[in-house]
Amino acid sequence: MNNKLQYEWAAVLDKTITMCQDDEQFHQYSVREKMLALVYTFLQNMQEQETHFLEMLHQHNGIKRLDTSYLKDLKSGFESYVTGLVEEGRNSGEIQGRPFLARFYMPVLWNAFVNILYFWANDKSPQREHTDVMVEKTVHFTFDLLAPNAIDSGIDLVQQYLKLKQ
Amino acid sequence: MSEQQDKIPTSKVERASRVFRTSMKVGANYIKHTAQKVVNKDLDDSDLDEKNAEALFQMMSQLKGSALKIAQMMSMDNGLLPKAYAEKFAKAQNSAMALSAPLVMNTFQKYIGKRPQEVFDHFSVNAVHAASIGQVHRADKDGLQLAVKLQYPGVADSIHSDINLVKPMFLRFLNLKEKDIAPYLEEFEERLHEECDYEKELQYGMEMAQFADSIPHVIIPRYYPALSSKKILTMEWMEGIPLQEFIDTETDPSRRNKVGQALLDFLHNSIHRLQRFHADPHPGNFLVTKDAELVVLDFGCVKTIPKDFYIHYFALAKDDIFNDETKLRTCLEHLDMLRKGDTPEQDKLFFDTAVRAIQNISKPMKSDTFYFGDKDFYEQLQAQGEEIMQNKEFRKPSAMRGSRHAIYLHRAFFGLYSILYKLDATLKIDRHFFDDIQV
Ligand SMILES: Nc1ncnc2c1ncn2[C@@H]1O[C@H](COP(=O)(O)OP(=O)(O)OP(=O)(O)O)[C@@H](O)[C@H]1O
Repeated sequence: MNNKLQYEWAAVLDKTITMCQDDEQFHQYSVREKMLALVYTFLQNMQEQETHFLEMLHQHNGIKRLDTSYLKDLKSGFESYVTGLVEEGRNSGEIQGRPFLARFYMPVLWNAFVNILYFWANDKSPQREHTDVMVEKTVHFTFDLLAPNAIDSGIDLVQQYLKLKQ
Repeated sequence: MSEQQDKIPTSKVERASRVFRTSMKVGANYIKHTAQKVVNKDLDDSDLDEKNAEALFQMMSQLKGSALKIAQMMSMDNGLLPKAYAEKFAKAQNSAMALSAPLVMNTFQKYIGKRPQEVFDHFSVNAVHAASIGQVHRADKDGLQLAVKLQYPGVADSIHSDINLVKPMFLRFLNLKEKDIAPYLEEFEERLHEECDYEKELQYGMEMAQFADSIPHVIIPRYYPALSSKKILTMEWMEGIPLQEFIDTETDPSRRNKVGQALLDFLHNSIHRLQRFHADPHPGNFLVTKDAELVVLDFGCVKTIPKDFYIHYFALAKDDIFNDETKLRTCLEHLDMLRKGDTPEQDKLFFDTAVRAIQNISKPMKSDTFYFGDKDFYEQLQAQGEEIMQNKEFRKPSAMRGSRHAIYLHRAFFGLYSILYKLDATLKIDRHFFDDIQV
């Protein structure tokens, strides 16, 4: 894989992270909102070299999607930043720490992100507004999976029950 | 108003609303009237229809945006849907999804090219009101208080597919053929598209604001084109209480009359002078100021009627035309209420029905003042509506008639009269509008 291409993806991400960090508003967001902001800003920054990125994504459309080696640098950048977000979410209680499932968190978030990129590349709606809807739905969905939910309360209840019974 | 007073007449007004649908025999009215038949308990297949209604509701409640709009439109026209469903839809209004704060930022970036913090001195990231197709934020700039309306993404271009999604259920529920209601669905679709186009709303709003300058006690917010786009609408923030609250709490009849008069004058003037009017006058679209002046919000649903339709429609309210059978027939044919190919029996039925409906409906236009709290007025409308519903002739496809332009005109009048009824208002009627109408 061409190193230059690798670099471009990572550069967009770097720029995105810097923009987010510099934004006062960003620091008041919940982790979920930070993720949304990250994705929107990323897409907005891709727009600057739209044709170029479109071409790359189109080349890898279809079955070739499985080969994400051309996104390798982006992936590691994404993972290291988002790991921080997940950590923050755990501390704030927005994300549930589940010992056995936690290692799937990152693949879920990364795959969701890549899906959005391909959706963006194929979006023919005016101003790509369908992508906006996708971003909202995807991020809400993935974060609902990571958030403490009914299963956790169920486990919690059973644990409490067993504990109190003793 | 005492509770009892409030209870009985409200349902009367609701039922009277059927007349606006049935008596004029406008096609869309027929749809609704058939719906009444459908939900009527003593019908054989009522069980099946109940199920259809339930299914229709279940499906629609899953939908957002334009489909929700359609559902609300139907439920607002009280009587089209069974009351229980209508109430559910009314509540659905508040449960539309809210845009996340980052999407609000993103939308500004996309359509204005700047972030809200750069555009305004202050901007509330969280919406202060949610509506069916958008949400309202507060902002200020250079000391001006502003309301900023943001549209949900994807709403506009889902209209067509939403209608197609809803249509089969709708047809089955109402027991109708697609070709019978095609023109009316087209009309709905056209209005819904306009409603999602904030550039249009901006244009109408600015036009109406200028127009309303000449109408006493009517206030329309200032609009800011430079801070608006297809998906963002920025206007002056208006202070006032919701019209419904005013209706529920105001004790001074002269203040109630003042607000009612402003509303009546506003609609009459825009219909008669512009042939373009606010086609969605429900209490949610108005505020009342401390001085009992009427604030008109939301020009999303504005209907323009062709001059030719306008003349033949309102000519019916003039005695000299109404009493001249040749002229009367000309008008009714223009409005597609009578047709050339009608059998003598059909002709007699539709003609007689139309004549009585016109007599009933145009009653407020016949004197210099009219008391809109008058129960008798609505009762007569209601009685005729019931009578029409009992008549099988009106359930045939050949009874599907009437210009598509009448739909929103009736909707506007129905909305207007319901509000005036609730205000219990006695109002001056400006009849000089009819002077120039000749056929
Ligand atoms: N300029 C304004 N000043 C103060 N409040 C406003 C203003 N504009 C809108 N609002 C408030 O926001 C609510 C929703 O606004 P509006 O009716 O314009 O939205 P909409 O999306 O067209 O809603 P719908 O079509 O469902 O009626 C109004 O009922 C009103 O309470």
